[in-house]
Amino acid sequence: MSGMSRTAAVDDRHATGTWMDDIAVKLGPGPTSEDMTDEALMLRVQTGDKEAFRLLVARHIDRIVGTARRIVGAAEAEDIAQDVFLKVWTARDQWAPGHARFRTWLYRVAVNRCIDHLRRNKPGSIDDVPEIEDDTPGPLAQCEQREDATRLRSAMSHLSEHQRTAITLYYHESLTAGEVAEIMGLRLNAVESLLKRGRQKLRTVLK
Amino acid sequence: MTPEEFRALLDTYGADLTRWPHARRQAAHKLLQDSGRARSDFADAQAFDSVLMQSEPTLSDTRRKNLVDSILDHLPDEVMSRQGRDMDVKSSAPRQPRATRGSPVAEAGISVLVRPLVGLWVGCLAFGILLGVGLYLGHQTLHVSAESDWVGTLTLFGMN
Repeated sequence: MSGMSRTAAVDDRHATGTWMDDIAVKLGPGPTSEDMTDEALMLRVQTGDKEAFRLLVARHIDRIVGTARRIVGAAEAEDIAQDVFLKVWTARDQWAPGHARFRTWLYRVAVNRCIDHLRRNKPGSIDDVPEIEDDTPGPLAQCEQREDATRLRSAMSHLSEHQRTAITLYYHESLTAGEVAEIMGLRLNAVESLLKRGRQKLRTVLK
Repeated sequence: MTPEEFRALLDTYGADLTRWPHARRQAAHKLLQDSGRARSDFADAQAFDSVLMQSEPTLSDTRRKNLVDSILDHLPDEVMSRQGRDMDVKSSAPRQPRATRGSPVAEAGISVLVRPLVGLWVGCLAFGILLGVGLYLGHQTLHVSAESDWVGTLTLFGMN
């Protein structure tokens, strides 16, 4: 996730108290627009609005690909992101406004897809798959960023699937421990334990 | 707050004190003011946080557009979608931790569920066999006694 999108994510989280109000304001009649909140777009998606869905996908695709890269590896990340959004479309009636924020629900679908993938496939190191080349001619900084990301992913392959998921959501997606617990369907103290053990193990591996 | 507790909280929540439980923040700030060792641990944790928070390379505009288009192109039609919505109740339910090696279900599989019922199965089987044998013997006894009664009756009347 880029620094800018991380900031947006954090800002988004701080706006928790107002998103239901935003829906009321922004769901009025009129065309689907980019300044609508996720929740307002999702309400339109529930009516079958594909343009609203396109906006939601474009808004979150980088985050979901990044999360999948951390949990299952780079090679399958884009396929998994595609599956995640197709599931969001087919299961769109399951999202209930007021019950869960769209982003929390989206991450839950994504984490479930990643865990299902890990359980179906032979456990292996997520660093032994080739990095997909970005087709943008990148500067040196981009290469270094890719190398650092690959090194971290390699270290994370030493963690259990639940440690890896918790660490990814907490540090990479800047979610709170409470949100991570909600997404993973675990108690807060279980997530705190996953974060602590995962971090300790990563420190040992990355030394 | 002890230095050990401070390190444990650093390991759990990282070095961003705004993400720590509210009740522990003030004590952490106090310890940081008083302890050089705590400041050193905190600096290490900050450096490690920056490693963990490294961003993944973003998708290029072309790749992102292709991926979004591909997702929209693969959306099922409305009939299929409605079926999918009915069937797809598991997609947003949290995945529980897998049964690990050593747990009763993982070790013994379905047999751990069947084992308590073995006595019941054996009992039912034994009861069925006994019932069958009993019915067979009962039938034979009735047949023999009816036959012997008939012979006795004929003898009594001098007809045999």
